[in-house]
Formats: sequence, C-alpha cells, structure tokens
Amino acid sequence: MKKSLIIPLLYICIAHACLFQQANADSNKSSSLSPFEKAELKRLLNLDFRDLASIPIRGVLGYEQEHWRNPASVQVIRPEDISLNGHVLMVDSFRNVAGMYVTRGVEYDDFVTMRNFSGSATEKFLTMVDGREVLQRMGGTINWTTEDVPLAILDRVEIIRGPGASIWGTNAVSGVVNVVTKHAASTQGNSVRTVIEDDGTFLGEYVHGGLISDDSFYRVWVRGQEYSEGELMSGLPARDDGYARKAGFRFDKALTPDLAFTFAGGFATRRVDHVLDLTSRLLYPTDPNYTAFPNPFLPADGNGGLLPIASNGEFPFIPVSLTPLLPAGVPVPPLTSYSTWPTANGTIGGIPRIDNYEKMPQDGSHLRAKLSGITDNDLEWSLAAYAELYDTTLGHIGHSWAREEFDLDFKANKPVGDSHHLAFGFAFRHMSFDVNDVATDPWTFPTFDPSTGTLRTDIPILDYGDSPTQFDRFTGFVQDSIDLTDKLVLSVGAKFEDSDLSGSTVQPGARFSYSFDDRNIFWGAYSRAYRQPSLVERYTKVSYARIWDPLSSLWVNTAFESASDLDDERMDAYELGWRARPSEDLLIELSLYHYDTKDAIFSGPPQYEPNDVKTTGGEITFDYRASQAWRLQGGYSFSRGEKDGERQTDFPESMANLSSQVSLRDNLIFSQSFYYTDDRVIPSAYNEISVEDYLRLDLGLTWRTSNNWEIGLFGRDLLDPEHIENMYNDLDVEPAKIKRTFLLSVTKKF
Amino acid sequence: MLRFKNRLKLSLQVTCIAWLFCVGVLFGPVESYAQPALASLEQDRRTARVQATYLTHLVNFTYWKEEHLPKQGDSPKLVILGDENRGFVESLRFLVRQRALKISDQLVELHHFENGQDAEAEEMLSGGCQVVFILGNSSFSPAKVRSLTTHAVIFGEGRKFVTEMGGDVSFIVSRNRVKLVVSEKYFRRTSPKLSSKLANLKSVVEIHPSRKNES
Repeated sequence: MKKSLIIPLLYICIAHACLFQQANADSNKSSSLSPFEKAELKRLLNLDFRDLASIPIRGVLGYEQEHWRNPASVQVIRPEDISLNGHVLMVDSFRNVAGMYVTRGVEYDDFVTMRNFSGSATEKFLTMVDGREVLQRMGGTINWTTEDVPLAILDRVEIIRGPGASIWGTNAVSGVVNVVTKHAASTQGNSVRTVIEDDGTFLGEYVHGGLISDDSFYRVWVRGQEYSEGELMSGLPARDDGYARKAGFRFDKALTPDLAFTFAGGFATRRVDHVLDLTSRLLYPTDPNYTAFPNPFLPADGNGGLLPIASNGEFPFIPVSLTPLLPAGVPVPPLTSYSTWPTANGTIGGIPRIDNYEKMPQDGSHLRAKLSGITDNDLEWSLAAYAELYDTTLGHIGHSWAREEFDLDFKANKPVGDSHHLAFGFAFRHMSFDVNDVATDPWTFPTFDPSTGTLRTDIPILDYGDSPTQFDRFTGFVQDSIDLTDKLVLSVGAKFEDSDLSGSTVQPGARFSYSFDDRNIFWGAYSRAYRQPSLVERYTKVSYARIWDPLSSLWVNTAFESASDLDDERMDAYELGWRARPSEDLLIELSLYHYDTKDAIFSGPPQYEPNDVKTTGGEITFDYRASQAWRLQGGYSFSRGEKDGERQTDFPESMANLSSQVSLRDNLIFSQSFYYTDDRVIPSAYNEISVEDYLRLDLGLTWRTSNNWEIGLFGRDLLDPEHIENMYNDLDVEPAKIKRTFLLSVTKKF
Repeated sequence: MLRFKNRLKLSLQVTCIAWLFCVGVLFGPVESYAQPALASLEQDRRTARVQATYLTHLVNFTYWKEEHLPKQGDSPKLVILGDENRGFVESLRFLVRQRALKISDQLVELHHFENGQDAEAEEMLSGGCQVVFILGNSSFSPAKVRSLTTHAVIFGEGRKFVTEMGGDVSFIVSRNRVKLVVSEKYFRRTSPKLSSKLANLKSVVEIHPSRKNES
C-alpha cells in the first residue's frame, strides 16, 4: 500500500471514533459548562497553587496561548509529550506539530522549519527561551542542542504558527517557538534522566532544587550528551561523533506578594567536527578560450562577480578532478598548482569526492535577571535584562566569531475600562561581534584575486572584512485587546523597531475571534512581519570556488558579495482558523494561511538572492481523549510555495502525524507515533538529492513505578531500516542515514 | 546620530498615526456597541473556575480528625449555600467528579442549596459536613453554619468574610488574579487543619491576622 494512503485511512477511522464519542457526549449533555470550559477546568486541575495564582482573570489576547479564544494557531508541548513519545530533545517533539518540518542530518544537529520555508538552515521563525531570543544573528540559525533544557525543568513549549510580530517583533515571520521553564519552587528535590540509544548516543541530566527561605528557591542542573558516529548515504563514516555539555541555575524569590525576582544563567559547550564539500569547488573551463561566458578576470559586474553561466544555460565548467579524462594535449592545471588540495575520497554523483573535516567548537553562556509584579491598579509589568556571550569557530570554512549581547526588556499590560486590555513594551539590544576569517588549509595555494589584482594564499571562504560589528536595536509595541461583545474579541497592535541592521519598521497586526456558540470559534488575522537578513547574508563576501585560467595558467578566485543594502524580508500574512470542541475530550482545529513575502532569502550559495515567495496552506489537527486510558493526537498539513513564480520543491507539501498513548495499566503506557513526510529535493550546486517520502513508526512502553522511577523502552523508525532526511546543502557532501534505533530512558526523582 | 534621530522620529510618527487610525477611527465607534456586562460575565465565569479549582486543591491539603469525619460507609459532604449564575457550582461538580475527590479515602458528595432551601440546608449541615461554601447572597453566615456543624471548613468570598465574619477561607480578586485570604486559626487548630506548606505561598495566600502583626 502506498505510504501516503495510510494516514488518510487512519484519519477516517479516527473520525468515526470521534463521531461515535460525540453522539454519546450529546446524549449525556446536562451541564451548563461549555466543552471549552470543561477542558480548561481539566487543565487548571493540573496546576499547583502558585500557577493558579498566576492565571489572569482578564487575559491579553495573544499572551495566554492556551485560551480557547486565542486567535492564532497554537500547539503546546509539555514534558510528557516528549518523554512518552520517546523523544530525546524538545526539538524531536516538534514532529508532533502540524506544519513543523523537523529533519535530522548529522547526529548533533536537527533542522526545523515551519510552514514551507526552505528545509535549509535559515530559520524563518522566532525562538525564545524564557524570553531570551536565541537566534544566531551571524548565520540566522538556531543551535537546538545549545538551547535545549533538561526535561525536568521544562514547563512547556508554545508553538505559535503564523507571524506574531505585533507582540513578538522582528523575525516572528512564519511562527514563534516560546520555551518556558519551571519556577525554581516547582523543581525541588533531585531528578536524574538518562537516555541511551543502541548506536551509543547518550544523554544524562541531573537537576537539583532547594529552598533557601520560605520565599526563595534555587535549582542547579547539568547535562552531558555524547554523539555516536553515524553513516553517510554512501556508507562512509559521517564523522559526526562528539559531545555537548551544559549547566545552568535559577534563583526565584518573592520579594513581596506581588513582586517577584528571578536570576538565572547557563553555560553550554559542544565539540564536534563538520565538513565542507570541496568536490566541485576547483573548476576547469570547458571552453578554454572563454568565448561562451564572461571572463572572471573582468571586474565584478552587476552580478557581483558571480560564477558565469554560458548563454546556452549550461554550466561551462567541470571539477578539476575530472581533467585527467580530457583528451591528451589539453592544458590541464598541474597538480603542483593546487598541492594543498585534499585527495579524492571515493566518488559522489560520478565525480571524485573531495571533502575537508575540521573542528567546530561552540561555547555559549548567558545570564538573565527579571523583576515582575502587579500594581494596585492592575498594571502587570516585567523588567528583564539578558547578557549573552557566544564564541564559535566553523573550522571547515575558517570562520570564527565571538558575540556579546545585552538586552533590556520592559513589558506591561493593564485592563482599561470594561472592555479594553492594553499591552505595551519597550526593549533595547546591543550586540557586538569579533569576527575572524582565515583561509583553511586546502585553499592556501596561490590564487589570483581579481578584487586586489594580486596572487594570494590567504583568501578566506567567508570574508567579513570591515563590515559593521556593533548593532543596536530599539523596539516598542502597543496592543489593545477589545471585548466587543461576549462573542467577538478584537486585537489590534503594532510593533515599532529601529535597528542598525534594518532601519525602521512598523509591523502592524490585527486579529479577531468570534464564538459561534459554546463549541465553535472562528478566528482571523492579518499581520505584517519582517525578518532581518543574517550578518553572513548581508555583509560577508563568499569565495566559494576557484577557476583555472588556461591562458594565464593561474587559479582565479570566484566570489560574490552579499549586498549590504539587502532589504528585510517583508511578509504580509492572512490567516483564518476554526476551533471546535464538540466535547471536553475532543478538540479540532483548522488553520488556513496565505503568505506573500518580498525579498525572501534562502540560505546557501551561489548567492543570497532575494526572492518573492507566495505560500498557501493549512493544517488540521485534533486532540482526542477517547477515555481515561487513551489519548490520540494528530495533524495534517499542506503547504505549497512559489518562488518567483516557480513551484518550490525543497519543502514537503504534505506532512502528517498521529500519536496515541494507551494506559495498559495504571503505571504502564504504550505509545505509538506515525509521521508521514512528503518527498522533496535538497538543493545543491552540482548534486541535487531527492528525498523520497517516508513514513516513520515509533513504538514505546513506559513503566512508572511507585517510587518515582520511570523507565521507557522505545523503537524508532521501525518501518524502515534507514532513510535520508536532510543535510546542510553546499556544506555537507551527502546526507547521513537515519537508521532504526532503540532507546532506553530512565528517570528517577528523589 | 542625526540619521538615527530622523529615522526614529519618522517611524514614531508613522506608528502613532497608524495606531490612532486603528483605535480611534475604526474601533472608537465600534466600541460604543460593546457590551461590557457580557464581557465581564466571561471574567466572572473564569473567576468561578479558578475558585472551584482552588477549593478542590484545598480539600486535599486539609486534615480532619477521625471524629470529625462521617461514619464508616457515609460520604464526606461538601455543601454550597446560595444562588449563583457564573458556573461555580457546575465547575466544582465537574472537578469533584473528574478528580474523584476524596476525604479520608471516601468519595466526596456535593450538595447545593439555593436560597429558599434553608430548611433542607440546615438539616444537611446538622448531620455533619466537612466543607461549606457560602455564596455572597446566601442568608447563612459563618457563625450560623458553625452553630450547625462544628467541624467544617467554611469558605466564602471577599476579605471581610475572614477578617470580620469569622470564615476560614475566602477568595478575593486582586490585581487581576484570584487569591486566598486564610484565617490563621485554620492553620493552628487541630481539625480541620490546613497544611502549613500553604502558609509559605505568599503570592497566593494572605493570612489573617498576619503573623508579623501578631508578633
């Protein structure tokens, strides 16, 4: 049976089960509480006193993600959703969120994109961890290992699909991932979690929390992670073994009943290797007279000195490794002219494969302090300060940078009159970078640099040059939530931003939700959101290949300049949604969207070219508690994008997920998860890789003992012994195999 | 710096104009059609849901002596007195059923007596109850309830319910949150007695009289 038919069939079965349940629910209807209210009561029942005391009676639209009137497409992931499904890191659990595209490449990195925006590393959504924006401004990526937290301290991950710029600000383009950790009072005692996979990958976490005084709490934690070595598609070792270490702390104190102070921090370090694909980076012209394409010796033209393409559209070069196949007498480059170039290591796509592995160390640390309170006139406010230091070397491309960052963030909200709730805030950020670019060993042979007119041995792959290294950003936002009637709630707002990176922007947004009845909510939104180009995209000159000139018998550097006038990506987003709760045990949500994006950037050479992208899609999700013992969740998403009028193929159009947890006994839970991902193409300069659609089945059994042990045994990717998912295009040579794995997790609280 | 100032000024102007347009022009007239009474009904219902959840939790944190519990085979009783239309009784009924709320391993029975059912209520109270919630419009007072049943925890609404009327616990809405005012006696007496753990939750619980004043 075709894999893509399995999920629809499962959905038909589920729909029948839901309708049957609904019929029973209707016949038993006797309460004046709506199904939404009953579902909220179930949620409140799981909160402790402290959390109950933080529930606002009048909420601000868009702040309280789990409120049923929230006019946005939201899914909340809780620690149980991670542990019971056999996920190791929180990022694994994003597979259970419709519209999120999560893939694995090397052992130590995951790729996450949302709602059809390129399966590459460039992130188009905003990720916050306890209010701290964790996007790496240099490359526009997120390091999910560094930002992950121990499961015992995770409170929830709120995933908001769609732009939310009027509250969240720049870079909240295709969505927001908001990670919230627990109050230190909620992690008293000790907790140990270990996860061991059959391939040798290991994760260990220890959390300790204690009481300093009646109203002061602390916790400290450490985490260690070992990555085992995987295998590439060709069977070669992936050389992706390594380790990550992390530690953190948090201190919470109630200064008065209505004034709280939090001080927290963390340190993370990771040691792994990464590869740069050199297979097609030394090029030999197939037309030695340079008649069919521009001469690279000429000054960079409007294309910024791009690799020339012949007028017939053919690529007029071959990798130098193929020159031995040319007829005798053709003036091929002598080996001595590129003596530092590595030797071939097998073949890839019919070409001798050449790669270069180097160290990629990463160290990051941050401190966070926050004061929050409520005044007598119901003004709820918070003042937070963040300091962060990040230091990394991408050895494979010879690019190092250290970043210092300081943030100050004030937010407040206050009910005004009977029907308005005003939210506003201001923030300031200062970032400074220390960038160092060097030529890596393979590239240190003499090469003519057209930009200087000299022969050089020190041309780096990335050259940040004298580009700016200090950036300030001011932001302010205001939003009003208006209860127009008991059925209609409106929210209008705008965020103002002024930064050295992107100038001034105003990002307005308007949302509404309308309650048809006590079971159905209809919502809609218009938002304008911006994404700033990363520093690499904006300021870095990229020397990505060298061309042999048979006339002068010299290697010539080929580079493109990233335009410093690159505009922000600007997205106009239109969303519609329907949220239905036929009973307290069943929630169905439908979200539809159309995004119109100008100047969208997609990572990866040959250049950072802005594109106009139109994306249309939707998600349907459900959460069904069939009984006390059985919970079923699932979702289906469809997304189609057009880049400059051409259909995108680098994002799977259809994805589906279905997970079920059945309590076989009070302390024994059987988990099943299906994930379907449509086919796609990993773009590449010379070797596009088609990723076939795949269906993943995970099964697991979790045993909870009476003395706080939790032991889980899981099998992942059980339908396929191996398949491929993703890679860093134009950095990696080929994707690694994602293999069937078995995993044992042991958690103990004491 | 001049460039920055100009940029800032221009952007602020655009923001202010956009904001005034949206709020003042578009939503100002619409606001006159708003129904604040209905909007606040939703807040009342939410308050009731949070109160009901607190009450369910508090029962679990309360200790009764053996002699203050019903005889073997009888159910402990939670009694609500008075009228309400914000879903409090239904919320509590739902939570009691959902949690399978127990006192001393016996499932709790919930009884609601509206105003006008005073005789039935008095009969129930005289038979012995463990938890009594007196709604604001009830004709019952903490003193009257205590005269009928001596070993019940008495809940109500508003600070005065504890500070002046002699109730054990009251719910107050302060700073857009639901909080608790708890009589110090409830912590001190032997039965029914509230766990001292709650006394440390200063952001949740206000103890009356405060321990600081007493010392």
